[in-house]
Amino acid sequence: MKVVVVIPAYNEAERIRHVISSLRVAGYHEVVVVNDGSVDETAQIAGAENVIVLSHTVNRGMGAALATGNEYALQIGADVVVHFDGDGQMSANDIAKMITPIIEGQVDITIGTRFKDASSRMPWSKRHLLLPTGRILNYLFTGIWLSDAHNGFRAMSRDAAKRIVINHDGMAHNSEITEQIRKLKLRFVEVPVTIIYHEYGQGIGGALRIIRDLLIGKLIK
Amino acid sequence: MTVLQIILILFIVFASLRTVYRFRKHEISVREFVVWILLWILAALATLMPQSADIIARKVGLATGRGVDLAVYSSIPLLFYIIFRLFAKVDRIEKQLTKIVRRQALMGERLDNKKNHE
Repeated sequence: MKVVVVIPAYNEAERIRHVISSLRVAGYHEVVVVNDGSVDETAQIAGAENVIVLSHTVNRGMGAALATGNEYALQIGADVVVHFDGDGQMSANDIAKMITPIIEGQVDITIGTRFKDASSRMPWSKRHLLLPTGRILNYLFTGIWLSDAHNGFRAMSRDAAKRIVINHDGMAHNSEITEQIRKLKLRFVEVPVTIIYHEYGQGIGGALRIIRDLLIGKLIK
Repeated sequence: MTVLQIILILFIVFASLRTVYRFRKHEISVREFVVWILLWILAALATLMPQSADIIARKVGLATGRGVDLAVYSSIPLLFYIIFRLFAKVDRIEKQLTKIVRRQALMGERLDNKKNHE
């Protein structure tokens, strides 16, 4: 089983080395860093860690970076593709939990959730206001109820990675992937994962941008 | 002539000259040129003879019967349409840009691999 971990990274020079080494410690050596037009040393630092670095010449957004990573992972023959953040919020030890249901053939895709387990310490407003609203909107747009709609931690089988097409370059790809899970009738399960908050991450502004992207995406097609 | 009329006429003359210039440089087609010039002529007429626009406004059934209102009302849907087209166009260009950037990123990796193997 070839497990390829895709890390989209935009200006993560400070944290990327730690993320890569934590993956190595956890036993994952097939790592693809998609350097999404970073203006800092992200690419050089990741390159020095002996992982594959794909560089976007200009910043295209997280969705675009993940799509590039998926394409490459498929090219090198991945059986399972894992999406993992480059900022050190996710724990490499959770990957085993994420990929097991896929390797065992129970599901096609797993999605991390911060809610089924209390270990993720997140800001109060994010837990009780922002994310619940996101959940409702995600349901309206995609038709699937997820306890954590915008958790970027996911793992998918080769077949699922082939069939899922990420068109939204920005952050709306989370909802887009959920929508495709329903349309393609992929089997999925939510897996509790621990997210460590260094900073707030996406706030209200980010949330509004996602809604705008989704609406425009629906209008123009 | 009011100050407003003078300003508008100056603008229309300027815009018409730009249209002619772009047509001469083959930046716009004959059809586009004709449409724009007709539009500017109409704008000039409406500016110099505001009453003429009022007649049209009344003909179309505008209760106020003012040409100015007609101009404003018809501009709004037109602007919406143009904005929609622009959105669609920007979206398409962004997607194409992503495609190019992605291809380049994947090609770059292949080149690096070759170098390492040599």
